[in-house]
Amino acid sequence: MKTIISGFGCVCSLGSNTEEITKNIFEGLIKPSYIKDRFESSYIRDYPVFQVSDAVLAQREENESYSFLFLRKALSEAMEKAGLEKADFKSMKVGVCVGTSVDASFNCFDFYKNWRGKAAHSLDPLEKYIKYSVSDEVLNFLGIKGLSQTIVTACASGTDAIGIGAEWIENGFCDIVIAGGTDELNLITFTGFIKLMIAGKEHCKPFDKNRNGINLGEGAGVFILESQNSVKKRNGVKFGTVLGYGNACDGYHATAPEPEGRGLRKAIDFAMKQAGVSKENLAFINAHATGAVDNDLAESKALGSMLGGVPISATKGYTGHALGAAGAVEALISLICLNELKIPKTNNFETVDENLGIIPVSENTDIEKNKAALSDSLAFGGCNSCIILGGKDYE
Amino acid sequence: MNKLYLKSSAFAESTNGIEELFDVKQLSRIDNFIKISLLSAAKTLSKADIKLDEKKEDIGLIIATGRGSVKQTCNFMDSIIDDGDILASPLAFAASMHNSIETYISILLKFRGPCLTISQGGGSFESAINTAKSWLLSKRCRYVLLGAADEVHPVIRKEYVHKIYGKECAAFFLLTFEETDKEFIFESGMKDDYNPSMHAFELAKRHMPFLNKKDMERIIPDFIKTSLSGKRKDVMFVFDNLSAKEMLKKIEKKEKEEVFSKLKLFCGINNIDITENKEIEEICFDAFMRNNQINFFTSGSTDIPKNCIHTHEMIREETEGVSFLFNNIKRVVTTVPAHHSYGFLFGVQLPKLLNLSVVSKAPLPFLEWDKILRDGDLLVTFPMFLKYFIDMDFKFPKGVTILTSTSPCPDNIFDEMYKRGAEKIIEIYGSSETGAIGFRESSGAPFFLLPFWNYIEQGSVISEVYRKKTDLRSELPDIVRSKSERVFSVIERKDHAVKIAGINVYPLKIEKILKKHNDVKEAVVRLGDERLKAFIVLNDGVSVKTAKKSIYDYMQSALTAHEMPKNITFGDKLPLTPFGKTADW
Repeated sequence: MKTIISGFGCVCSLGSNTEEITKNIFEGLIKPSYIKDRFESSYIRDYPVFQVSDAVLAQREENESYSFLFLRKALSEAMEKAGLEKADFKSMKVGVCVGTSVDASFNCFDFYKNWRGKAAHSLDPLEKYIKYSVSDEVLNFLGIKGLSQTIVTACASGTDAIGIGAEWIENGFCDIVIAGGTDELNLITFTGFIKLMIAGKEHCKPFDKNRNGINLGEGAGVFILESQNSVKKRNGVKFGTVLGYGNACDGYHATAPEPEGRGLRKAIDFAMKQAGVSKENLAFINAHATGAVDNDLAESKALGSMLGGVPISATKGYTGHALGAAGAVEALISLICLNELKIPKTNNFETVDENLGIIPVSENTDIEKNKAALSDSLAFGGCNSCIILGGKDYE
Repeated sequence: MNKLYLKSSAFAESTNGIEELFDVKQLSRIDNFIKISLLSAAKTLSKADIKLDEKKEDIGLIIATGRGSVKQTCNFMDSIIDDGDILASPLAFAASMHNSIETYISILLKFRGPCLTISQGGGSFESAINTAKSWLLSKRCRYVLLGAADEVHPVIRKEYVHKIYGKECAAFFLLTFEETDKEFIFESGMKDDYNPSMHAFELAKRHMPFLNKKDMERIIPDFIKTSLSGKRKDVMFVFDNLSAKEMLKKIEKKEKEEVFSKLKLFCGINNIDITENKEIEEICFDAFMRNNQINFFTSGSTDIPKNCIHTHEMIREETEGVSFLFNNIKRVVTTVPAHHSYGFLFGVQLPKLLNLSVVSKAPLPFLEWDKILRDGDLLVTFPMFLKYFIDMDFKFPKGVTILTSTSPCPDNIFDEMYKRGAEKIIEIYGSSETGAIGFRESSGAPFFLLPFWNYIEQGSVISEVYRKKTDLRSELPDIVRSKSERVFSVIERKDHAVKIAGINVYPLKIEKILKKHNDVKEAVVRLGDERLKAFIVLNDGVSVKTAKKSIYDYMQSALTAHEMPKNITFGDKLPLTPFGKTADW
């Protein structure tokens, strides 16, 4: 697989565009904060999260979800980098493949509360929910028709969306695919993760011995993926390459990962074969590493045994766990790292956990040129996926 | 680009039969629509001879769900609203994940390959097909199990009641590039956001085979038994539980030839000599699959016996159209032969659609019916057999629904069945020509027209019925009066003219005249060998010898020469088919 990344954009707690994100991630100063003015919850002052800036939140249009706002902003940045206008898509075979969690769910809490309580309510939120899909909405935003797919493999959605989008190009379904993930902080997921006792009350500590739960996050990451012919035809720029994609299920438990990382191993194995890379060709791994006790353990088993010695970066200490957006945001960060030739320190990592058998980088670390990166995701239900990326100079 | 082929497919809209495939413990805490999906996925794999308990390293799994686990999302919000977020239910949240179908299928059916869930309303299934194809092209897997499943959203159902025709259902397709006899063809652009998975569900139903070989093991023996029943007494008893091959060994050459000639007509076999072939079920099965239709014969009780061809499409429309009557049924117990139009619909096709197991029993009163019947059963039977339950002073176990048809169910039988503990009695009105037309659930009540029919009225009389989807149109066998929209009462049988020496005569009219004679208890008149024939049952205590002349004189005075039956047979009781309709003699 050699699908060109000809544009990219991102919005998350690290910044409202990739330049801000690049600057902030290597400064390493970011911390989670408490939710303000988004929704009411008894837990707001107990569980910190990673939020998109107020300046971005204020840009939401009427009837727009925050998830779509983030996606729209990330897409606009990606289009600008790719040198594409909306009209340019009209002559191309276009695909849109977006991962999400919240933006595909019936999360109209206020509507539902009023509806259930028989209080006066408009059916507009329901009507919108019935007809809405985030990937179709991207096509509407661009004013075009094309292949559309909204992926909901929970926390692996963003990685799956990029892998599938790249494969659509490889298999000739599309010339160009807008692929990524988006998600927003929301009462339902916020309360749900707390009730499942997965959320932590402090800044998360991926792969740390004292890790004690996740911090939720939000944002969107978008890649513009293109065939080599299409990039060449329009004199586009190559920012990187999607080299491989693997996906495999654990078939083990509804909420817990298979302890030995069985599905993840299979996903990694397929992706590396498809990419034609061995572990010696990997510059680093951007791990899923949520800071949850069992998840980090299962992931480390797979990474340690298959890819021991490859530098590991874990970035949820900067972004939180952005659920359906996580894989896309981390793929974006991986691309930034490949092109900056360094990976950031693992924020808030302090104590090595001997049980894991791996140690993430604790300082900003230079990486070798002309090597690839692997970014993986593990999700509820035992979904595992990973993609392998090359930077702008990777051949 | 490579073509997608269908290795197998299946659908489910209830969990009936799931306990036979999975341990009950494995299914605890799993939502209904996930169980339905599991069942449908398991059936699809089984049809492709893939073992359920084998690890599936080389099969991808893609779930298309328009809305995901919406009921659990609502449950979680309910718990926040009712109990506050501190007491909100973690179980409901965990179960509300969009990929929960994928999760449970991958766990319980041991999937180890790629897996994915796609959710974008009515466009989910069509979108998923692209990725299934892409996976196969990239050789991620050899097969993709693609499923579509949805719950009916509780809020949408309430607010958009007229737009919702969907139901909780799942449909699965095992796709491959390896050529099979079925290319997977999907009509794009059929997006329905209000009923997101219904298009896939309909598609799976279209792929449901008309019949399977196991069905033939019931249909052909039943056909032979019924064919012999006019000539042999106790055929049900003597031949019960025998295979077609065993039965054929026991009958004479002439009987065998008669059976084969009828069987050829029934199955639409033209050029094959089945008399010498032992694999009779195989030949009949191949003929059915080739013709994609079945030929029901009328009994001749209301007219001259004739053939009524029903296509697969017609039978599917009918089966789906009656299925709403049987929501709480867990098993079908049928006493009606499987080749008969009524037995075929309710004893073969309906159980297949609703995934119900079937117990087939001869209509013999001396069987231990109290041990056979159990809670949740649908007893498919007919009025004459129900009379035996009254004679036996039978008490029905709790939860048995009775379905009766083939001839009108008298009010007293209706009432007696309820008195004897039947949960519900459904009477189906119809004919071999039309299949089921209407139903009612209490004595004396009018019938409701089944939803797959439209009708034409002339005055207040329903003159004709026609199907909504398929090309089936028919006059009704009776005079039927419309009571209100789609509600009707059956007044009496229509008297169809037969030609005797070029003159129209009316057998029913002659029957009525015969029954007016003081000595006559029952009478049936039919067309015999170019002239009419009559079968007469005399009142108790009246001998044939004394009544014969009086009846003959009476007929001479009351009937014209063309109306006079040429042959009169006297008997103790009317000749009946094994399920209560007047048989030929």
